[in-house]
Amino acid sequence: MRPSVATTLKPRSLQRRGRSQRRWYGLLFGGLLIWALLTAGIGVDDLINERGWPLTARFLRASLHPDLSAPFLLLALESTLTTLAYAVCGSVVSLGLGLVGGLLASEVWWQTWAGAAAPRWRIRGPLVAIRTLIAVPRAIHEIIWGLLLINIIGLDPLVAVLALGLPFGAVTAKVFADILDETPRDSLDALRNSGVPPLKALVYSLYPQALPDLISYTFYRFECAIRAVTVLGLIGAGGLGYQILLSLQSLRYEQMWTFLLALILLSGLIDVWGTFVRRQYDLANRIDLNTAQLSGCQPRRPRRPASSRLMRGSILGVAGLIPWAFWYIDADWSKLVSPRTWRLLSGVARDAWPPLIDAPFLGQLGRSMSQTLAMSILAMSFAGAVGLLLSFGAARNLVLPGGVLDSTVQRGRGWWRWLIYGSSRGVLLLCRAISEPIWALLVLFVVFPGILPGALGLGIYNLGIVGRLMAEVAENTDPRPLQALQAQGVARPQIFLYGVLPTTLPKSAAYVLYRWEVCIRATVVVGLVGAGGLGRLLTEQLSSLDYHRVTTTLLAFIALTLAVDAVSSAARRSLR
Amino acid sequence: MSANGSVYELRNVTYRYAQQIAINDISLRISAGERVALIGPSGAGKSTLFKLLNGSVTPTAGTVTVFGADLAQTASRQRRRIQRQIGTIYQQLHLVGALQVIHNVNAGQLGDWSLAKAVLSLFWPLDSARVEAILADLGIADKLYLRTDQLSGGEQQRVALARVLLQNPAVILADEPIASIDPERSRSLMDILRRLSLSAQTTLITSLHTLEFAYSHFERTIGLRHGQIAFDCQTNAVTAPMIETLYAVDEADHE
Repeated sequence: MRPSVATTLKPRSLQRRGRSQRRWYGLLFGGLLIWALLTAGIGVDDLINERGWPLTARFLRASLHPDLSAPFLLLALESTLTTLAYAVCGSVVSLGLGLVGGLLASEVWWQTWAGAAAPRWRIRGPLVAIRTLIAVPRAIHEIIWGLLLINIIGLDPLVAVLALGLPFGAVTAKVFADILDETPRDSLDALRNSGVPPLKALVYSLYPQALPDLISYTFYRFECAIRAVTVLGLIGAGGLGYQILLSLQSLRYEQMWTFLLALILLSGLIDVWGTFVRRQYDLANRIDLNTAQLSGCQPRRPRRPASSRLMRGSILGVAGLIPWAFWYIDADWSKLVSPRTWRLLSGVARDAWPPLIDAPFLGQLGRSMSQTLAMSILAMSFAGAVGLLLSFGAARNLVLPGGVLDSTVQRGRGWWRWLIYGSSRGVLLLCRAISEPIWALLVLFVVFPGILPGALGLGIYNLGIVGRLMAEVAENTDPRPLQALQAQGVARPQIFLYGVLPTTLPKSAAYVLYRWEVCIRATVVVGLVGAGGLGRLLTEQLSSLDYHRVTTTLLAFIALTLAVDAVSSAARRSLR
Repeated sequence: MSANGSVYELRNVTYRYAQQIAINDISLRISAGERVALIGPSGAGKSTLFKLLNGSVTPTAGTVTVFGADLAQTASRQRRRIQRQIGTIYQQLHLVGALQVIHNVNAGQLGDWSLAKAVLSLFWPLDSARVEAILADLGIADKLYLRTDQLSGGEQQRVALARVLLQNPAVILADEPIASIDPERSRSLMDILRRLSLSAQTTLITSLHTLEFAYSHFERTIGLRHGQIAFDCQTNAVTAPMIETLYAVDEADHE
C-alpha cells in the first residue's frame, strides 16, 4: 500500500522553481519539435509516394494468406530457433560480464574492500575508472559492434553473440552495480564486523537480497535480446530478422507474413512468461527496471506459494535452453584467440587513431548529427502521443468491466470493453515485435527515403514499448482516489481527467524522455536502411574500412548521446 | 427524498467477498439529519458497510435503498445523481497527490460540471474564491495552489474535508476520519461535522475506533460485529458490558 501522506516536504520556493522549469522544458520541446518537423521536410518537400499504395495493399492482402506450406513452416521454425538461440547465447555472455562488471562497478564493493577508514579517493578512483570504461560499449549500438566485429572475426555466429553480449553486458553491469548499491547494507556490515572477508560477506548478504531484482532484470534483458537479434539478422546473423529482410526485398509478402507471425509469437510468449514470473514473485516491474528506481529495500513475498511449479519449470527450461543454444549456433570460439583476429584487431586500433578531423568532413558530420537528433525527436513525439492513447485502452484497471471507467453495475455487458483492451494490447505487441529497420522498410513503401521513414520506423517500434509501459503506469495508479470520485457520482470522462491523467501523465512523460536516450542510440539501425543521419555515415565508413572517420563519427555520436542524456535527465527531474 | 423521511433503508443486506462474508443479513433505517456513530472491532465490516452506503459496491443479497431508490437497479446516470448527494471522507483520504489542492477540492463538485468546464478548470482554476473561502475556514487558505502530495498529513486531511464541504451533500459518510490524527485535530474535525449536521440537517454517519466522540457528538450508535448488528440504540443507552462484548476476542479470531 502506498502511504497517502507525503513524507517529504519540499519548500515552496523549490516547488515553484519546479513548475517554471517544467514550463521552460515545455517551450524547449515545442521549439525542438517544430525544428525537427522542418528538418524532416514536412510541409516543405513532397514526402508521400502515391505510387506506393498498390504495393501496400498487396502487402496487407498477403497478411490474410501467409505461406503455411509444410516445408516453409519448417524453415520458419528453424529461423525462430536460430533467433532464440542467439538471444540465449548473447544473454548468457552479457550476464557473465554483468555479474563481474556489476560487482566491480559498485560502490559497495570498493567500500567493503577498502574498509571504513579508507580515504575517499581509494573508493572513488577505481569506481570512476570502471564506470567510465563500461560506458563506452554501452554507448555503441549492437549493430555497430556487429559491423566492426565482422571486419575482424569474419562471418561467424560468434560475431552476433559478441555484438549482443558486449553492449548488453555493459548495460547489465551498470544496472547490477546500481542494484547492489541500493540494497540495504546492515547485514553486510554485521558480517564484516564479525570478521568475514569482503567477497564472502557480499555473497552471503547483498546478493541474496538483491537476487529478485537481478533475476528480473536479466529476464528483461532477454526480452530485449530477442529484438536485438532480429536487427543483427539484417547484417547477416541469420534467423527471423534476416529472413524477413530477404522476403521483403524479393517481394514475397506471403512468406514475410509467416516470419512476422513467428516473430510475434516468439516475443509474445517470452513477454507473457516474463510478466507471469515477475508478477508471481512480486519482482520489480519493467518501469522500475527501466528507470532504475529499484526497490531493493522493500520486503518481498511470493504471492502464491503454490506456484513453485512454475518456478521449477522456469529453472528447468532455462537450464535446458542454455546448452542447447550454444550447441545450436555452433560458434567457432577459437577465433577469439586466433592470431589472425589479434592481427586484424591491432590493425584496426592503429588505423582508428588519430581520428580524422577536416573541415568538409566536419560539415558533413554536423548535418548528420542534426538529422539524427531530428529523427529521434520526431520518433519519440510520435511514440509518446500514440502510445499514451493506446495505453489507456491497454490498462486492465480502466476500460475493462469493473474498471475505473466502467460505470455499469450489472456484469456481462462489456464485451466491447474486452475488444478495446484486446486490440490495444495487440497493436502494442505488434509494434514492438517488429524491429525498427523492418518498420522503416515498410514505411518506405509510401514515404520517400529520408528522415521521415526512419523516424516513423523508430516511432512505431518505440510506441509499442512506451505504450506497454504507460499501461503499466496506469495499472499501478492508486485506485482509491478514483474510487472516491466514482462514489461521489462523477462521470467517467471527468474521473479520467481529474484522477487518471494527472497521476499517469508525469510518469509517462518521464518514461518517454528516458526512452529518448535509447532511441537516439537506435537511430543507427534505421540509418542502415538508408534513413540518413549518423547511422548511415557509420555504416558507409565501416564497410569501406575507413576507421579514421569511424572514430570521429563514433565520438560525435557519443557526444550527442551524452547531451541527450543530460537534457533528458534534467527534464525528468523537473517532472518529479 | 422518500415520504417517510428516511435516507437509508437496508433490508436483509449481505455482502460476500470471494472467501468470506463481510456483511451478514443487516437491516436498518437511517433518517434525515441523524448523527450515527458506527463502532466495532477491526474486521467487523464497517468499511464494507460504507462501500454499500455510498454505492461503490452493490449487495450480494438484499437491498440498499437510498432516498427511496435501489442503487443496484438504477441506470448509471440516475445513480450518479444520487451519489452526488453522498459525500465520503476516507481514512486514507483518497486524494490525487499529483494535482494542486484547488483541483482536489473542486473535484467535490465535478459531478455537477460539464466535461468542457472540467477541462477548462484544469488550465484555469474555476471557483477559486469559493474554494479559498472553505480552505480559509479550515485554516489552510495559503495552500490553494500547492501540489497536494507536498502537504503534511493533517493538511491533506483538511483538503479531503474541504472536498466534501464543497460537494455539499445531504449525507456525509466518514470512515475512521480521526484514526490517524492527533486529539486536538480530531476534536476540531468532529466539531465541524457536527455543526454542519445541526445547521444544514446533513445526515452524518461516522465509524469510530473509540467511544469518546460517540458520546459527545452522536445521538445514535450502532455496534457491528462479525458483519452483524450487535446493538443499535441511543448513544447514552450504550453500557460498558455492551462495549466489552462488542470488542471481546473470541475463539474464531484465533483460527
